[in-house]
Amino acid sequence: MKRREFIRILVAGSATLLVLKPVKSSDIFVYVIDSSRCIGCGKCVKACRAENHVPEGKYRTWVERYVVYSNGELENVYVESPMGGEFGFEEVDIDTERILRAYFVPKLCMHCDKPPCVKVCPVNATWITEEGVVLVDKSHCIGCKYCIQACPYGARYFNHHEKVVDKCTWCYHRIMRGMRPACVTVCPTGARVFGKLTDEHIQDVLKERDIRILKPELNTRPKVFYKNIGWEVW
Amino acid sequence: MKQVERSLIVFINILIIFIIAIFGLRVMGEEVYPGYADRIFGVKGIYGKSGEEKELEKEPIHAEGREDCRKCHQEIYTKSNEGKHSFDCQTCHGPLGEHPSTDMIVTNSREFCLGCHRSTIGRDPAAIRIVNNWEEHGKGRLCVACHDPHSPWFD
Repeated sequence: MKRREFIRILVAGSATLLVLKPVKSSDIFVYVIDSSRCIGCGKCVKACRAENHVPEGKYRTWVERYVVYSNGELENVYVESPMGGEFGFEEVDIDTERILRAYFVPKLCMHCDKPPCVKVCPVNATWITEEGVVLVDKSHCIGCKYCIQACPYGARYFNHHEKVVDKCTWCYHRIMRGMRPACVTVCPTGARVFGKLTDEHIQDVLKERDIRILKPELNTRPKVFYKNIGWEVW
Repeated sequence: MKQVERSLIVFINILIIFIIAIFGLRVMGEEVYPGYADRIFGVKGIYGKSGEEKELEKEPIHAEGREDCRKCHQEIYTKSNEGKHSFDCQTCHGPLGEHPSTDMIVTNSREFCLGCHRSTIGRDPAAIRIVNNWEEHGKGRLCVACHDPHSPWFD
């Protein structure tokens, strides 16, 4: 092979790579959580468990309560999530007058655009679909739990009955039929909003200024957005 | 001297190949994920994508939502739609299950209502009507004795 030919093949090869570059669809799903409307009733956790057969003690979605209080010094943060918030929240042993702010934060898989869990899987059993949903292939998963460690949001859990890693799928079987996820359906106050990125009700929320994502410094590009939460949410 | 020249050319060629490879990978996206390899070479089903997406889509739905309940319970549907409790039926009634053959049981205890309507740290009064004096208000009676759960009244 002559050098000229070799270079030509190289150039042609990189040009085909350019053409074959995976196109990212703008028709992806996003999820918006308004923390000020969450009342911590735990109906979403119950609905998720019933819909997806989540084993006892594991959670695909859970609710956390953040209580920020000050005893005359700098503010302290108290975070709790008893039973994932499934059965509601009890009173806290903190003087009500000392509480600066308190709110509920529902958590779930962020379905990152650059998911660290997908990167570490040694058998490629987890992948990101064209709709932007991160899924696990249960027939390929070997249960090594690398992805559980890689996830910075703690969204994955190990299913001891099936011996595979499981996670929130945004109720993939529901959204592909045009329905909303179970947690969004049952939310009595409308704290959870779900839809396509191009939908009008999603665009209206995303235009607001006080919207934020969790752990932006990790550059995981989550598709779950939060409204009305403080700096302490982690 | 000629040997040095030749080895230099080989080295530069290797360098060019590496640069092109890095450039190609950058072109494919900021980061490369295993799934992309399948897509680029048009091979579906080597890893991960063994039709699991399609399998997940087929999973049964356990509770479709209030539009499904409307087919039989039109009256209650309209009533709840007009009132404040216009959210989904399964929020209180739970998932449908085998419903037409089995009854759907909903607890009408005070604790069930207070699960949402009690004042708790972190619960915003703007988001839900909170019963502040729940210990005294209607003591010893069920909430549903006075308030219709499908369309509760407010003063």
